Amino acid sequence: MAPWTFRPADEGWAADLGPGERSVLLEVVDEVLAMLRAQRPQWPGPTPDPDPVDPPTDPALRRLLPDASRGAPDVAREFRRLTEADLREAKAANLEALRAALAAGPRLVVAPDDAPAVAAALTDVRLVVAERLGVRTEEDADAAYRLAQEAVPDAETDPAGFVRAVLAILLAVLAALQDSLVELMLDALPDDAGEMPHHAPDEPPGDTEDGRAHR
Amino acid sequence: MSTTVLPAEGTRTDADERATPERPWATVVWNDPVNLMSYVTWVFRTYFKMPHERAERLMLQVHHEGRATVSRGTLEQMEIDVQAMHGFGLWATVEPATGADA
Repeated sequence: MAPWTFRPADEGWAADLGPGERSVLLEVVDEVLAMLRAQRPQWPGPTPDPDPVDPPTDPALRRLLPDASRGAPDVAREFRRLTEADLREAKAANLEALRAALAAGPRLVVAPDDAPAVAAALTDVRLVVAERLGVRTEEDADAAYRLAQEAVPDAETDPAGFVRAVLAILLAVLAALQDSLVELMLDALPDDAGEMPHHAPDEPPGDTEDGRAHR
Repeated sequence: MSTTVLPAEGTRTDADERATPERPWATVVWNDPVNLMSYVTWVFRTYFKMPHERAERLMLQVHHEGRATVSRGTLEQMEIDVQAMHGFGLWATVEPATGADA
């Protein structure tokens, strides 16, 4: 069976991971958690922020906390002031859910109720790893997947190539985990989730246990 | 999901202007090469309560056209949706509503 794949299990959905794989994943989850908690004078921070909040200077963190407007910098800036602290905490909570599942090992077991948080955390970790690899286009993404199939360069003679290869493998492993998890999540949905609401739900994300917005 | 081809800022002249006074703003989701098609579909189905076919159609629109309008409403409502999309790891922006889609 394919490695790094979630399958139905007694406790929910589970993927087999080796101890080395678990510790590498834990390390990268902790790195993303540290990124979210850095560059903040307070954690948790006040919401809304009393002062304007500058966009993150780290492009990977900025991908996690993107601008909410492409053409109106004032809209993006005000949105960031109002929401960024909440968004950081929601993402950190998702990452903590993934972290707890990894730390509980040896298998990576996810209860269906926790799956939305874990899937979102896997997304954020993949976004950071992809940004570190310089993945900006579909061609870049394809090149990263090809790189993951190749032999890893020697860390002594080609340290940069070694790091790129490890990141590419990490990206491929995370994609396999996330895609298999999301397929199970899609299968678990009712056949028709209903009509689209005319307006937005009135609760922020992360307030509900399954990550769904309630109307 | 595919090569990101983004329109130049301020050049969109959508003749099919169907924004209403009640729903003058839109949430637009942008393509990126990292997010999985399955995950984007799942987000649209669960957060927006879209039927399966509609979620898949909009996901493919993001994938092929680089963007799709996924909801419309007041500025405050759209900001909630945009924040939710960012929570899921999708890149979304608030845009003045035009006629196309959603």
